[in-house]
Amino acid sequence: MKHAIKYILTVVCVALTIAAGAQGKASKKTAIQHITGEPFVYYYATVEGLPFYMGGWLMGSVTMKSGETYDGLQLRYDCFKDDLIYQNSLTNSVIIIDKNSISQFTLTHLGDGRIETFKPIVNKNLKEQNGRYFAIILEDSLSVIKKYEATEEQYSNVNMTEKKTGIFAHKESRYTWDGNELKSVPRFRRMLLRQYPQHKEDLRKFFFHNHIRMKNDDDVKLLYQEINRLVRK
Amino acid sequence: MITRVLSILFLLTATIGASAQSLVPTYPIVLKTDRSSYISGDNALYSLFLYNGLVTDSTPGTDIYVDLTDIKNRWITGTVAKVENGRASGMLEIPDNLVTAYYKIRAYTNYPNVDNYLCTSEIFVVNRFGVESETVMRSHLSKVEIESTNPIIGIEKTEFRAKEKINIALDCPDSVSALVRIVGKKQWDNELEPSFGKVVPYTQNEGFTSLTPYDGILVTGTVTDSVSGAPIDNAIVLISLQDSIVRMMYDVTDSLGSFCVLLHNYYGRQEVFVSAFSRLMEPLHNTRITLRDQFKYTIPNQAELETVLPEIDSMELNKALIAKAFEIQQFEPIGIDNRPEALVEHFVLGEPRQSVLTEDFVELNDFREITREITPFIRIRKGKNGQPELRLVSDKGNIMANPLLLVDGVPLTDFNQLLDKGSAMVKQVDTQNKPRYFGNISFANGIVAVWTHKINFWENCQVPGTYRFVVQGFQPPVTESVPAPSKDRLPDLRQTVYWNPSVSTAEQKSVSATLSDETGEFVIEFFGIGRNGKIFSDFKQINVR
Repeated sequence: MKHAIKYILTVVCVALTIAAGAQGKASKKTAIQHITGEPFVYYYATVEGLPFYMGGWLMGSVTMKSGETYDGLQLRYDCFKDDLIYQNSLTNSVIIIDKNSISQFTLTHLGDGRIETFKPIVNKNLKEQNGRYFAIILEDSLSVIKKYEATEEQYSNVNMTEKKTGIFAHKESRYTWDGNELKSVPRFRRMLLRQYPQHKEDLRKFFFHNHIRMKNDDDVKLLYQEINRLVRK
Repeated sequence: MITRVLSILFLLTATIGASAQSLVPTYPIVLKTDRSSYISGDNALYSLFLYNGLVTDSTPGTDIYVDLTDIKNRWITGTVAKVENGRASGMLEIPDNLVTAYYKIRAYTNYPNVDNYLCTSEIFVVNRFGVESETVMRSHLSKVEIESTNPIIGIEKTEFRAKEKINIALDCPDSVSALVRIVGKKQWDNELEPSFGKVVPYTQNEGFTSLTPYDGILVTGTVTDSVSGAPIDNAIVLISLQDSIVRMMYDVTDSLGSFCVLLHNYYGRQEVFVSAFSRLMEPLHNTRITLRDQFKYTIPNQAELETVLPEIDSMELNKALIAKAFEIQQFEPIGIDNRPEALVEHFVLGEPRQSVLTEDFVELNDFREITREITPFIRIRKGKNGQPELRLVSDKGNIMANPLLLVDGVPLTDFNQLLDKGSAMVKQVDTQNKPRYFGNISFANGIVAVWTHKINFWENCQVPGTYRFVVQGFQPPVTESVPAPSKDRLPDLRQTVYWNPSVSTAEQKSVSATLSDETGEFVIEFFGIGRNGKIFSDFKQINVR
């Protein structure tokens, strides 16, 4: 009797294993992707700190201009060179994805799981001719975007023991983008009110009721939603 | 104990069985066209009904493909229509150059994980310049059994004047989405009943189960050894198009030598080049690449066709010609589908490190001269087998042997084919002397891209191991249109007087239409599929004076 039960259970286990295997085989096709790029070369050995957004690898997705979207990728955004870097575990390679092939990409924050969307923006005032990645705070007729930047601050005295010549300093700046012109988001309320004299009173009331702080992303988003609404009216 | 185990097993089997069954719903289709005969250059309106047994609303909101083919199933044109609430409708533009003959309209689903269905209807097309095919044949189509659920069309009278407004009361016990149309009696008499059939274009074991319904052309096939016929496993299959940009996709073959590539957002007919490479990107010359038929239809044999001479209303031809000559708009769009139609560029080459235009230099007779005189970063050397090989010089001066060579965007595996081409043909040479990644494959030795003036290198080029196929499919999204009265006092020559493919009987108890300038006998038809899955139909004849 015991043998019979063992036999039946073995048959069930084998059947389930085959089914799981078949499922794995079926999902093989999803591994095919068409991300293009060139090898990433480690360049920051002599600088202290890391040039990457949030420090390192994050989960994210990439949407290509061709419309294909690839999820669950290991990505990191190099704020110093403005490159999106992708780790392909299948080929064991680290690749700088071609900027002109990307429509947008997202990065998921490690702590709170917040998803930030980035898009390449091309503008003649930018020093990057191929465009630069900006995080999207608000997407509307007047969008609000955010630039993450890393710069190298040179040490006055080179630390000979660690052979470091400088340190990466990270900074963020917000801009408005209407599809043509890139303008800095004013740091103070009064500067913003000067930009919209026709809606001055409405905005003043909006500031008062919503306690808008110009350094907070959510507040800036709320504020520009209101500005878009007022302009459309 | 054993009883308990057996009962658990029984329950497990029953559950698996039930879930497997729920994955395989059925979607039979019924196709109706607005008329039975058309003039070349005309528009054919179609309405599709899908039902899965009893309920029409449970079919998925996705696409249905509608093709116009000749009587031997050769594809001519097509559209893709969106299915909503078990219904779809659209318009097929009949090409101006079709010869007078019968043609088929076929509609089919292409959903993953389920059986897919096909239905066919036939139309007669008259060439407006009088070009006839040798024999006019039509096929024997199976007919749908119409089981009326007593819908009632109500009209106040049966005699009308031209351009008069007509109110049609609809009384249907079943609340469904149905079609109401008014057409000439002669057209209606000539019409075949709508038909439906079944086809299973793809099976689950071909590995498409993880794909969602696709929007583009699906290229599937196998790579086998040209001598032994054995499938080649783990080969990289590059699929490319001859163009002025690199448009390339790839797949890796499985143990059966199968590959499957979706040309995302591609529509219509495309010529693709398929070649196989090893994992180290060395070309596999001794291979045979075959594509699976995307659409498993059979060419009908002569016995399945019958030669017929249809009745052509000559007046109708003249009226259609007048409408065409005066550019009388007989249709107006009622919904615009904004799905993308973009062609895909893949940035396989990246930003070229060097780029040379041959027209900036003196005329050079062959590619060897081009490399020697104007592209010093490309070298031609004798390889191990005595054949000339292409080499690329990196920024640091290192030699990269056998880079990927693209000519007009298509990989060229036999370099000899390019050697005799001079600057009369070659327009530009781009190089990428850094390794490039393309998905899970890499071109470690860089890429050389050669572009010709007319993008025509492959017209007279045969390379062993590189196969050229024409793939068709899946068509541009359709803009739905309905017949509309002509404006600006132009004669109203609508052949289909009224066409409303989405009458909801739950909300609409009547429809109204304005008659055209046409006189004679007309038929008002009310057609649909009830919630019980049965087809219903009712018609009334009217006279227009």
